[in-house]
Amino acid sequence: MLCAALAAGWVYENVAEILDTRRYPPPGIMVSVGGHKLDLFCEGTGTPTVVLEMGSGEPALLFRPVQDKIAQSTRACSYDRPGIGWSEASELRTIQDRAAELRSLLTDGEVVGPYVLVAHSYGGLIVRDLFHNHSVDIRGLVLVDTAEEGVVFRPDFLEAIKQAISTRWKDELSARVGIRRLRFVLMQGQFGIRKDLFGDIRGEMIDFFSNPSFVRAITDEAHSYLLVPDDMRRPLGFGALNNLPLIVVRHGQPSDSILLPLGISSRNCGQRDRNGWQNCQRTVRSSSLRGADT
Amino acid sequence: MINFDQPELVSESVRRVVAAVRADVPVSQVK
Repeated sequence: MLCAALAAGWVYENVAEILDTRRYPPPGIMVSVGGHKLDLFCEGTGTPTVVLEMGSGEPALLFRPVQDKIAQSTRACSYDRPGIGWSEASELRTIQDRAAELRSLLTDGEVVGPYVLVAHSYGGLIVRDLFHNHSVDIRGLVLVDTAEEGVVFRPDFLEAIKQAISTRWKDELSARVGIRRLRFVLMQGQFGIRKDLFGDIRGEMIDFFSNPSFVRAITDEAHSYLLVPDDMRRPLGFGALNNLPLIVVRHGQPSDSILLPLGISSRNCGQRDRNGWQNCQRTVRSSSLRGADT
Repeated sequence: MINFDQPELVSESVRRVVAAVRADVPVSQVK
């Protein structure tokens, strides 16, 4: 009986994935990078080119209203990291791997510099590594509530990551047999797929968040925090930004609404203490001598 | 914590940085 139910769920999941692949084609192009394909979407004309780097587990489609607005005055590009959105899964391990992959994507995807990078949350560490360790012509940054070393490498945060990873196999199993998808379909509001936030892209979001490759991707991204060398686990451990033009955007109100489907509460991200979060964002701003915040 | 529902806030910040890059001036000098 159990085997029959699991088999039926497996069929349901695979059929749903096939149907959603047809129903929601990628809006941009698929670029081969290191043996897998990443989805890249660019719009607008002008220079510098603005490149969006998302937070952990966030499909770039979420930032489309921002990208559309930016593209009114210059070239704007976004992409999905492996296993997220329309991008194929890969075996990336470290944050440095992801920075190197972004560099390859810019080259192979013919995204012409100079660049202004916009990063949210986890993406901040990627673009800062890109700035320091790769010869990419970055002229400015906008960091939106990005991860700050003094917070995300705290023992309690790392412990929360380890716990989330240790139970992730259950999510992956439930995804493979369709249970995760069914829960998202039946209980969208409860799992953060709010109509007022996601509007017309709820179908894509349910498909992305339900997919087994997504579960694996967010596990891998969470695990990458644990692989950061000890000497980088301190404020500004990913390096200063020298004179790079920088704006730090900080949130007004803490919100769990979007992180909940990922299984990590914002309370685990050092945000329970609002003043602490604001202070760490000031540390990010201080990484550039030409930094400002909103 | 996320500004998806405040796209103007992020896009306005990007506009200022892009303008600063184009004019080669500090962001603080861009309105």
